[in-house]
Amino acid sequence: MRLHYAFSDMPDIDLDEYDSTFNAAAGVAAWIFPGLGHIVRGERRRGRLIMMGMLFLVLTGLLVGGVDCVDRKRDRLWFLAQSVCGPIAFAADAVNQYYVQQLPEPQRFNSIALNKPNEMGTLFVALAGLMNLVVILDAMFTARRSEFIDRRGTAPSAEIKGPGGAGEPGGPTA
Amino acid sequence: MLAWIPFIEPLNIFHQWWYLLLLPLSVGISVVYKGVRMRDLQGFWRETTIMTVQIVLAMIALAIGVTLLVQVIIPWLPAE
Repeated sequence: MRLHYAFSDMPDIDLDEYDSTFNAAAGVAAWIFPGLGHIVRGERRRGRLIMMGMLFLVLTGLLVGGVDCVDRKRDRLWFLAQSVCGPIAFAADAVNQYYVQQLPEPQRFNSIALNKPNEMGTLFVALAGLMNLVVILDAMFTARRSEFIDRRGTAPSAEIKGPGGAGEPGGPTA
Repeated sequence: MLAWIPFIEPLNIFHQWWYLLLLPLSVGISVVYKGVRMRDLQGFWRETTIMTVQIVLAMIALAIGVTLLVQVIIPWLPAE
């Protein structure tokens, strides 16, 4: 299988030449706790940064909207996206279902987010879930990133000859 | 505010200031995206800052564009 760049003069890349190892355990770890998949694969700094970003998104969402913004019963479609965050989302939903929703009415009304805080809290956690989908896929196929094309559109791999290849400007430093 | 219980009760100050949440939202997305996308993580925080600024500026540009469309261009159109 060949990768062709339609809007660039980059040479085609033969995907079969690349080591695209599949690591299901890293994918599962990334779902259990965001960033853990990369740590399992040995990319500790990357895993920590991803973990920090994901927790920042989720915790900010829960802080703004309260746990009520994760609700698998009333906001089922949103919860589909949120559930990709992993057990954090399920824990938030459990607190919502078994604590917040069971509170006496006056207290429950204080705990239910309305209008913008609810929307933004829901959005934060849902976006975190969608980002974690990317993280899970990346944790499972990490080999691809290091051997593909970097953001400047150069070919970093030593196997690829031509502009930006190994040892050339824009090429890999290690 | 003194009786507010974090994570259980919503933060109601964002009823009025909800659009300020664009900043933490774009910071979080940028950190995760750059964490996944960058090859060697050199200059990570610089890249993250650039992407955050790009998202915020793009959203401001979109807001200006939509405002112009709704407030200026559409009222110019013939009613029928």
